[in-house]
Amino acid sequence: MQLGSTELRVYEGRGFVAGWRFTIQFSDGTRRLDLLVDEWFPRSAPRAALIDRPDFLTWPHVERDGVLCLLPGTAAVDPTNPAGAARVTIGSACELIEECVAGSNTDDFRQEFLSYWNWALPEKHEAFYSLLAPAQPTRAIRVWNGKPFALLADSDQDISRWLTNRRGEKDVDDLPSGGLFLWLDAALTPAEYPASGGALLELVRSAGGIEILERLVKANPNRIVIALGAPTSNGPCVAVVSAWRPLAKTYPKGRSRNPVQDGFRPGKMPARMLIQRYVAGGQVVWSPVERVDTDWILGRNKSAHIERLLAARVVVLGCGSVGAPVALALIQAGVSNMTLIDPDSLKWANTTRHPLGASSVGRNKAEALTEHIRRDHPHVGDISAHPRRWQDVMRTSPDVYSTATLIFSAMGDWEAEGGLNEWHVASGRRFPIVYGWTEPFACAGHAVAICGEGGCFNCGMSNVGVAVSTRTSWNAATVRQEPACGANYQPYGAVALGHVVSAIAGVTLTYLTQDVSQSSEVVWSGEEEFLKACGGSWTATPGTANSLVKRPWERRPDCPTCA
Amino acid sequence: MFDCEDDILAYHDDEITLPQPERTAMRDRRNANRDRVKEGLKNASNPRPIEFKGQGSYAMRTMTQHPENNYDIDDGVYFEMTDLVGPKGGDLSPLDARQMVRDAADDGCFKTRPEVRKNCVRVVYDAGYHIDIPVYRRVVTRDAFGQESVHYELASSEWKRSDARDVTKWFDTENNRQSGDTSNGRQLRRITREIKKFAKSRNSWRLLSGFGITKLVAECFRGNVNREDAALYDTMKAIRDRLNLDLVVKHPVTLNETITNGEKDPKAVNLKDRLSDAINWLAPLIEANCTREKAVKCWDNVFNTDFFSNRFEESTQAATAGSASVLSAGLLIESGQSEGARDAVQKQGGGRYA
Repeated sequence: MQLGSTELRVYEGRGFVAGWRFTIQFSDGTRRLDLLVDEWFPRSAPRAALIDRPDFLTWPHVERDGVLCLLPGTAAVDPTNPAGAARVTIGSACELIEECVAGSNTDDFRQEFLSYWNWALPEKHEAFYSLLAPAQPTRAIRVWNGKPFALLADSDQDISRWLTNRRGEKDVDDLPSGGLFLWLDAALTPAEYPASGGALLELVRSAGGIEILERLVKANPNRIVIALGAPTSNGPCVAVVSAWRPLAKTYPKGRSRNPVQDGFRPGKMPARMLIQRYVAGGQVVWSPVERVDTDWILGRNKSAHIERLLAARVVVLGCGSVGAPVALALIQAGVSNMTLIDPDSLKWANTTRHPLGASSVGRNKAEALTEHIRRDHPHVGDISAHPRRWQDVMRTSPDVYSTATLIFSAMGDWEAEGGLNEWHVASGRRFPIVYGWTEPFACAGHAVAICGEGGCFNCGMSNVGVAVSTRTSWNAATVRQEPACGANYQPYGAVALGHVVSAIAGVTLTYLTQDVSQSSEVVWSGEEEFLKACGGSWTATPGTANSLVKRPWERRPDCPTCA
Repeated sequence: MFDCEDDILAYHDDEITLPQPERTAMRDRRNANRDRVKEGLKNASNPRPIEFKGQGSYAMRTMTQHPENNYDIDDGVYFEMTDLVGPKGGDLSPLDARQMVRDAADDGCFKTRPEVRKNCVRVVYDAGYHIDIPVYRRVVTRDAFGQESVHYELASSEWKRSDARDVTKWFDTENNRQSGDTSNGRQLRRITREIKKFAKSRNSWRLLSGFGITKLVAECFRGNVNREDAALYDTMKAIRDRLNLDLVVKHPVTLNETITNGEKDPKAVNLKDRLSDAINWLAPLIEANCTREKAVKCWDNVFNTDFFSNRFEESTQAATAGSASVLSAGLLIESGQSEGARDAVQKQGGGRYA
């Protein structure tokens, strides 16, 4: 039977434009099933909905309106075979329903806990973020009850660091309070969700959290936040149940009743009774939790070197159009501690090739980038800025350099980088320095990593700072000048620069995550047509257009710095 | 009251409200007519209209389906008063203004020539519908202090102060204010359509006009966002009770004007009596032992249709276990895994990520 507009209205908000109803014989009887399509069908997958079904959350993969979750979001459909897609949908639906009838897929509730927990939530619910390590044991935690979210963590320091990163130096108006993290052996099924204070108390007892809860109740807060954690085959999951203190009741003639304390003098109530009255007599509210802990934020990328990156401390010299995007890429890759050094301020014209935009114009690049990183990646550790030249920082804070795991220099300035190399050689080249720069119009780019073995930076450079491996030559001057004295700049855009940034970030990551002792260089050569259009040509340095070439950075016997 | 909300909404969507293609066709006809009138006025060197404005049930979107396409589109044409000048320099008479528009609408292609009526020019189409064009003039006056004000006058037996746009505005305001929902035209509009459909359910009935019913629904609306059927029943009852007390229906925007004719308008009396009949027919729905089978027959009777019974039969057949239409889950699972089907869906996607 084809569905009319009334039947389709049941699925309001899903955009179905047509549907057909089938009556199907299952092992436990007949059930009606709707096959539904939206306006994009046959390019979109058809959906199936079960009409004759038990109450919501009795069976997994059945949504509130009966629509079945059959395909992952990544599924692709052959639009030339709509009948096949419909058969797959109905077949998969029947398979799922038979599994539900047999009860063989109940464990899906546990393995996909977050979906079902979120489906069960009331329409309006508080948002919780979690910095907790989602692992055993059951333990006391700290809760920041702020707005528009509450934050869970294992310590006040974690809360303070994350909030300061995220919100700047704003005062933390509400101090954290105590909470409880319950580690369960397995995620709960909907039937096990604690719907009452009594059920919650039972859950706390079974997970060994009763003593911590007693301590929390004694402080008599308005509510106690209990985070539930459990392992699943898809990684740990976290949810929150809040136990709200029963409200005091006021009666006419000024009489009132305190359902927690009545009958006992303050402090004299037995702990067991107090907890019973507070938790079992109060309201229980479920909330979702979004993990914001470093493991989750970075672990999704499945980087094999995450521990090493988290432990590293990178110093970035130069936060311009090359330094800033490389710094951001390193942060996103997992670097958590970084010092950014640059004396310059961001100008309007920089915004076309710099990750910072108009809101940072006029601000020091290192400071603005630091704030940007902290705000948008609040899981990071120690990120600091020095709005000065690297030499000035060396004079006042030499530890910044001596404690680095790696220095990345994107200063593109021979005076500064030549001096940096001299310091590097003099200090024994104990850790790598990666030098990154782009050639005119970003037609080529270089990442030179200097380590203990091989050449120093000066070995591959002329006395006036021209790289021997320069890939492009130009008949006319490429440097442009603003209508101001000495205000030179090199014209290139963010698009061409993207390849260069990517090559440099890749080399830097390699030297951060692997034990490499040999100096080397990676050269990116871009589009030949683009190079010619800009008025340039390739030099004799080996390399082909649109390719990366990696070569050793050899020692020069007559190098005045390291020979 | 036995819950037939789904049935009433289905009847509204399938049998009462105009389907989108019909609405589009109607808009196209209206636009073609506007172009014809404009062209005709231009060719005869007559004044150019300042605007056209749809009005009536077409503008209020309370039109209901008619088996013979007997639709009435009202589309007012507006002129500046200063443009409507007679041959001797005086104001053009209302009749002359209507005749001017009639001549403009008549391009010689109509089997039935456009005619001048008391309050409009009527253009009749062979397909069954007609377009009524009321003619208005825009009048600018100054008071004793030189303050300008604007009003509109309809070319009727005389130039009569009126502007049907106010009616459309009134209805939209009432619909937005009183309806508890926002989808499918909102409930007050749907209930208006449903009662209009009821009033047209028998050819022999001579009931109050659609406009009169619209005014009564706005006056007596009993909304219920969860139960369209209850909202319809309660509103019908409230209108009947209101007509029992007073048969006069006042115009919603023109002061001292009534839609009904006199204090005992026979059409208002008829509407009241037919609503009483319908309320009696629906009485079984209030009984505790009412079944869906009984309920749909009552609604069939109200709207003089077999739509509700047919719908009940269809759903019963679909739900009947063991009938020939019952499919086997096992075979369907196999079918979904068979060659020709299994390649139609790639569950893991195409391996491209962004």
